[in-house]
Amino acid sequence: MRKIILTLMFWLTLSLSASANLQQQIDEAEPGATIEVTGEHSGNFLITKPLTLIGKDATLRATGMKPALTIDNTQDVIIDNFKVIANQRGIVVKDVDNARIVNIAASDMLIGIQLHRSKNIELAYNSIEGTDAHYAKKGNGLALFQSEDLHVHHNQITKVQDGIYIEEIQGIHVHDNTVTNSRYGTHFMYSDAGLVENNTYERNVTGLMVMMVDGFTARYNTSRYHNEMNGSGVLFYDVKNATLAHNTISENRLGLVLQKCDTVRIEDNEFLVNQTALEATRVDDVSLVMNNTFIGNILTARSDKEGVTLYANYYDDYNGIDADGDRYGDTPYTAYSSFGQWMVRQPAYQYFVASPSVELLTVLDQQTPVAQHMLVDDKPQMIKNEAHMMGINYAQALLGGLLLMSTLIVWRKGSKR
Amino acid sequence: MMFIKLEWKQMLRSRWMQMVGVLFTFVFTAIVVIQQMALPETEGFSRQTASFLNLLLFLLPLFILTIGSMSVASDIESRWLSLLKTYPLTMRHYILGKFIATVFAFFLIVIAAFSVVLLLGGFLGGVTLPPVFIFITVASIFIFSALSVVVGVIAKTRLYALAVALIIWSLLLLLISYALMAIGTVVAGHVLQKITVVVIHLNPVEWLRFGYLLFAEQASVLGPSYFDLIAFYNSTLGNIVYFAVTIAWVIVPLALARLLITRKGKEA
Amino acid sequence: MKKYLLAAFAIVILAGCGDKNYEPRALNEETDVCQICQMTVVHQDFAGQIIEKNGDYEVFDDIGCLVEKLERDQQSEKDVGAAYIKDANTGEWINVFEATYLYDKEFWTPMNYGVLVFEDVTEAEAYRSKSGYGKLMNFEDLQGFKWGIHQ
Repeated sequence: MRKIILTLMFWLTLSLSASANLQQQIDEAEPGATIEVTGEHSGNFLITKPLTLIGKDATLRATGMKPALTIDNTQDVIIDNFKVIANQRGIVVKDVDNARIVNIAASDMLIGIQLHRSKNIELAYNSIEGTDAHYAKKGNGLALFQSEDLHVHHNQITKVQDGIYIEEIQGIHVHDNTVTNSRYGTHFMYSDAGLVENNTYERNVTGLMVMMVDGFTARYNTSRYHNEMNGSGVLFYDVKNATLAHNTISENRLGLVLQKCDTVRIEDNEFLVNQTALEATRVDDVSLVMNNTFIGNILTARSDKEGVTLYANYYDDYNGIDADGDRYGDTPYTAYSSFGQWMVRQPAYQYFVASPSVELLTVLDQQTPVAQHMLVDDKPQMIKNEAHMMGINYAQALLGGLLLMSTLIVWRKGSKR
Repeated sequence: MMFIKLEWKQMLRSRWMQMVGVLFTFVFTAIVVIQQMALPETEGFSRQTASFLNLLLFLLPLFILTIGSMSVASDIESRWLSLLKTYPLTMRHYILGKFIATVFAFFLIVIAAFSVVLLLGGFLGGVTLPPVFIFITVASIFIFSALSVVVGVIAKTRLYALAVALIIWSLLLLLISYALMAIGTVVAGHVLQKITVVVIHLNPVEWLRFGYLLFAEQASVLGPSYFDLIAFYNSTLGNIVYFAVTIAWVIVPLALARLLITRKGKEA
Repeated sequence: MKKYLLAAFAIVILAGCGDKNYEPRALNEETDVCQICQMTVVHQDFAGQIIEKNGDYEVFDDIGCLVEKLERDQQSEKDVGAAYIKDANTGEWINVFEATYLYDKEFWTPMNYGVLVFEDVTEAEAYRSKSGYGKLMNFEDLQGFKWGIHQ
């Protein structure tokens, strides 16, 4: 017993002295110096001058509820390659100009990296993993507030509330990040001039959530498997002057939701196998959904009575022909379905989605011209539909063959006198 | 036992049944293969899953209800039943025999259809039959075979049986849903939601569809309005209730058929 | 059989219509999303709900969204069954139309509209003297209020 206590005390003093050392080292360093850190350090470290911290197998462990590391009111700071353990917030950056925080591995915390009133910050190659708790009880992976010119890339974030939360940021480039199993993959609020590229969002409530933004571009992102009761691939609320292009939006409950949008362009995206590919409410008539590919969605589009403009998209369920050879179908494509429109107004109708009765109704809708000319594409694109062959599964074929044979035998035997 | 064998033989020998077997296999295979070829593979609820399920819900009840009910009605019409009544055969055995023969005959048809799908799927790739799907198929054969016996007992002639079967089929598949949707345009959302929950339990087609989504873990498709219902049926108790209700959908019609047929016997 | 069906329908419809006291309902964080902005309601302390005359519930994540819904559907107090919002101090449901509001752009809310809600003027005053800023308002002042971040 005494031995254990002694070891414990020894370990305690050692770790205490180590952490005292790190803060001391930081305090004593010349501005602009580089400190190499190894081993585990417990405490709540504070940086208030230009400094480079490079970890070599290093861990920062926060004590109490305070962050493991705070960078406050300074410039030119680099934090590279640390494991961060904290109860609430991993790293907090306040009023800093020009910093790079890279290769951080944070887990089991509420908020990975929090940023306030800063400028020229690069957050990259970090991996952030929250807990298994419900997302309402968790914080954001990267929480970014009131800052300018941010560069956020190659981060891996999972199991948090919002992967990358962006509020009141001027100029942010978010690319090559992956966010999974969180509430929102990337969540924009009141942030203008954002560019979101090449990110992957999977199994969140919503992949890309953009709210109250003027000027925004998202391209080449992949958003898929958002199938929770309120799930969607991409959601725009109160968005002006935005472009969504070349994204792949697949296997979501709702592919893209546009609500209260002005002048948005949805171009060259692929909407694959969503339950509803596009839902539009209160979208102005300048906004345009053009040149997209809709394949395998149960419902292509639904809207309120204002509708949304569809133009020259490809629809796999279009059954017209292109007799004049201009690569566009000769008859309009109707995405309108009575059921889809009801579903927008009354969520309880959702029960009937793709039910036998609705399938029949939808077929009838496509035969009858819509009086209001809503959700109609006058120039549907025609593309060659290439069938994909997969490898031959001999075991399955054999099983099928044998079963068929035996059924036939049983039948013949049964019907014999 | 002898009676079941006899019934089963008759059923397999009937032209009607053979035609239905070929038709079902053909339509089922064609649609499944076309759908699966055209669409990329997915894990959630997709148009492919929906068409798979709808095909089953459209075709199986239609065929089972018509064939099963006509088989019983023709016994009555041709006085074969009156003859049977002079044998030491209780009406319970008669009903059960009819039911089991129908179930077996349709098992055979469905297995034939599935094996063709598997066979073709093996060559073309990408075609699979999820276990939940097979479970729902089995459950629907049981439920609709039981219902078809009742329809046959109620109807006195084959033509009448065919008409009643078709009416019931269209009611269950389409008309109840349309009525519900129409009601939904005038009542509040929460009322529509409650009526829908009741209808799920009262309409075997909806019940099977709900079961499929439930056990395939795709019930979130139905939307947040049904969160509590889904949460209940996902619990162990809910699973037990689901099976109990499913079994009730088989037993209650059979019991009803027996009651009606004995009453009919007394009148005659 | 038909009798029972009818009875079941009657019960359902009666159950649906009988409930006219417009009590606030507990939130379900799995399913409740704001009817206006579609956000999941994770900050329950700011949530609101409207109970329509027909008994339908609608949930909102922020007082701003609730007011926007009333404006969108051109509803006033007499057009809805009831409207509730969480008190910023107690977390209890209180009547939207009789609450006192405190605005400052520094106050954080889920939509960052900066409007906090209090049961009465005393509570709001107390909060204001503690935080040092904020503008007192009542429900009428929220009509035509410019929601969003004002610098």
